[in-house]
Amino acid sequence: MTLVAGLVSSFRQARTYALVALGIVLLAVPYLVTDIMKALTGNQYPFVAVVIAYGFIFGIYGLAFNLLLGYSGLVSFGHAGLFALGAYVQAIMIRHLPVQFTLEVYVILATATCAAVCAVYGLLLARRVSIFFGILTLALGMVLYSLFLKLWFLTGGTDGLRLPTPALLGMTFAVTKEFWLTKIYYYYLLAALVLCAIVIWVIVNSPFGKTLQAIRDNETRANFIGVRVYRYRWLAFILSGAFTGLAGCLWGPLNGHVTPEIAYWTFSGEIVFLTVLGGFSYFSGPIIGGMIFTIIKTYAIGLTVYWSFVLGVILIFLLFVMPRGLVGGCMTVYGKIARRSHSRKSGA
Amino acid sequence: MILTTESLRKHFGEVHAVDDVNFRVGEKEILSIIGPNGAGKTTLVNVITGLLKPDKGKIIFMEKDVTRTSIYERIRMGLVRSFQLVQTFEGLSPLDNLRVAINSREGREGKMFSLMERDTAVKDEAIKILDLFGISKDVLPRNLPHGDRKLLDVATAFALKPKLLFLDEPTSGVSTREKTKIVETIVTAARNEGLPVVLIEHDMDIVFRYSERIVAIHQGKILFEGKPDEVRENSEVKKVLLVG
Repeated sequence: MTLVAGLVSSFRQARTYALVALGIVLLAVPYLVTDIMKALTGNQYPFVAVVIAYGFIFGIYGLAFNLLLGYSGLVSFGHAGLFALGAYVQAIMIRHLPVQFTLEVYVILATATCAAVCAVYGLLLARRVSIFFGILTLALGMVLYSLFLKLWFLTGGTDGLRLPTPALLGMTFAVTKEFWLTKIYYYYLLAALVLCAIVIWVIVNSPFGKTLQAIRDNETRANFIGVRVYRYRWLAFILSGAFTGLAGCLWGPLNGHVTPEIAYWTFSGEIVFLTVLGGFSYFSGPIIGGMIFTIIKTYAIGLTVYWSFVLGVILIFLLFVMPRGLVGGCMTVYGKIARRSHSRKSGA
Repeated sequence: MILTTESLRKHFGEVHAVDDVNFRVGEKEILSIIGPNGAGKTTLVNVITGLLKPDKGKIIFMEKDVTRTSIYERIRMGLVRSFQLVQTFEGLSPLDNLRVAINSREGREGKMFSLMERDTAVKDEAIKILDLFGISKDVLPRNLPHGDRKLLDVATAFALKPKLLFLDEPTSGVSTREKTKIVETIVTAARNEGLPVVLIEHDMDIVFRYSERIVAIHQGKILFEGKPDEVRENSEVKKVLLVG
């Protein structure tokens, strides 16, 4: 009861109106880019829906990552390994077991596996901060990468593993692959993003979330109000890793294929980037960052051989203009507009 | 005695920061520690509160030997401090600073699936303490005047409902006008709760006005201790404090 009341009261904030508008657009996209565009211009662009669907996954990944970065003040360079682990759990099971399950089973197992890995490795990590934390997480990511590469009998080595279209909630659909991706899995992923966002929103606005932020701001003071700092860092790491694995598992069927490259540390760099791009001090920052980054990267790749450079320039430019991220930039602009219209009203 | 130390020692190589100190605090006492800079006052508090481990000696708090216990344990028992260099949660509002402390006190700091905003009891208590100390609820600590930031540090310590409170230079860096307000607030609140307070202070006016007992420390040792009048008359203390 109280939870619903809390969610309802947050709807009264202006920021949420923008997100609702965005939500409506996102719901319409699959039909906008196919049937409606076809009726208007004769061309279809189903690929746009797929790109946005990737964006949903990176939105979840960004939220998970921001639990550590924005809310705990810890930068991990190994999250790509956990993301990949989520996908590989599903792929390995599909490859080596005679039975296939509905996607939700794989998601639960992937999440649990990543949580377990983080629980164990986290015992080593929790007492380290900043650069040491970064290096140790980098090590985790690269160890996972090596395992995916070397254990070829399990993981397919450099060839990777195929991920066929799974059953969703026990249902299979007799449709084309394109239809499944753009009009079925798209909505499934959107729902998954909304669900994860709600759960993580509750977590960061709970006493636990505030405790994490307190630890981030001042470890000594946190100690001196009786908070067991290591324990909460450890828990944050597990939660972050678990949701990352969840995102990775959902990514698998969208991509159709998983290879060890996904676990490589440069991919971890991208997640840091997209979280900062969106604005890590805002809850919705990573979601927006995840989607915008996916879109920019996909189209940059299509434009030029030097797409990495283009991407880098765009991102550096955005960070100079909006150091608090895209969401931060929007908040600042909104604030200025609100102040100006207020002063105009009061006859300035 | 709520707290005693027995031959407490902390050396940093050649520097004898705490040198066989037998320190004691009585129940409900308002006590000041004075001494020149570098005398070892803060180190003594750091050792007693658990930030540093002593080389030798014992610390007995509420009749329990806490020499080897963790900071977490000491806080749970009610041994609380504030800091010389202000330590607050910079990214959180003063209201949240206190709420985090209250949640920790109540063992609720780990609750993940309830919204903090819905917890009216905690919020009300936090607002009450903020009002008592005269601190704004929403202004981020970095935008507060220095005196209010120090008060926030102290208020956070208060929110833990301590059994013994160490305040390390609560008025340093604060304007003279604000100093009295701060100490008056603290001492009144403490006296109302029957809470023993140990102040490390340099401002002698404040020391003599509010302390029931004064401990003078010099070069890691207790030079003299006694009531304000006794300390005022003691020539050794005067020499050390005038020189230091």
